[in-house]
Amino acid sequence: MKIKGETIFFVGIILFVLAAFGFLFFLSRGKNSDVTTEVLVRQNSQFVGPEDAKVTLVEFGDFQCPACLAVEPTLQKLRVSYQSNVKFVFRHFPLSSHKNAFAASKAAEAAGVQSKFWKYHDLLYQHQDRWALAADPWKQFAEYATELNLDLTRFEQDYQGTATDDKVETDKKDGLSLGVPGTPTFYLNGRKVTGNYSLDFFKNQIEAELANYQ
Amino acid sequence: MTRGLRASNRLIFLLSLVGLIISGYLLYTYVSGTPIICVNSGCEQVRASDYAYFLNVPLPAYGGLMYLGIFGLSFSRTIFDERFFRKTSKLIFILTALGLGISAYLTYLEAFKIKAYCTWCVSSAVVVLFLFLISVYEVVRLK
Repeated sequence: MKIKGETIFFVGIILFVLAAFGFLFFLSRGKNSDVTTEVLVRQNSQFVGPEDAKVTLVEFGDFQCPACLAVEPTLQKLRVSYQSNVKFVFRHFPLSSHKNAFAASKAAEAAGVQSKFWKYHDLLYQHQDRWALAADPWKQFAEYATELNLDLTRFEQDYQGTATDDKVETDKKDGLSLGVPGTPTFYLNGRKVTGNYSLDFFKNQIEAELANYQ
Repeated sequence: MTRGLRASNRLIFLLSLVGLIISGYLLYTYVSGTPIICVNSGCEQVRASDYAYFLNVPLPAYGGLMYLGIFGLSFSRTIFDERFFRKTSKLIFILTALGLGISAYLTYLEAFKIKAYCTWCVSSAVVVLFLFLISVYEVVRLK
């Protein structure tokens, strides 16, 4: 059977596309490698769990991101189950497309100054639909601060201050330098982990990591 | 095969390839749970919505099957005779009409129910619209 020129032309296109994808895959291979702990967890990064835990799970998150909200119940369970042996770190990665995400990160950091970062973090996710699209989310942020019995004057000062700006900016820059593609992105002991982010997925990954230290 | 029909088949082949790449990428992000590269947060919102799966199967899988079918038919046309071309033009018309209907419904869901647009889904809807228009041209030409 004689192969027509048109068939060869189509096969050529298929081979070209396959080659292009192969090349892209080859280029992206190196990016998933382990990253240095120095950039991944800063001295002042927000964390919960033992400071010197053998296993560290870092999340690059955005308080306005629906996917981060979706994975939050799972993370809350993990933070309880592994409170004695895993260090959970939250790094800010507010996306520019989320108009109140940066402000929310600043508010959480301002709460962090009064040692209530994680409680505030939980409230932000819990009420994401209330503040996410607000013209000025300050009213809601102040409400949550009041709910947590924070010193409101101090909270406002820190929220307006440049220190919280710098903290969030540093997190974002670190994320970008690590090649964080979006939110949420997770690193388990310096290794980027991707999957369906179910409870079982994280448990399997954490257990495998813990097993290395037994 | 006339020049017009040859050109239309090439377009169908290329567009179905683009559609296949879009649905393949989306399906990969659904299965692996990796963040979706997107111009805004719309893709994540659409993926997190109640409409992202049908019968527990991610929607991009259905789109991918449709594109794969059209892709296969378009390629087969370069191997077989003109009678095959005529038959497949109707089949491609049915597939793209179905795809266009479903895409229109999904775009409606994005606009009014989810209230967020996924760039990839909208791109796929545009691809299927062009595929449909080309298939209409073929059916009319081969009448």
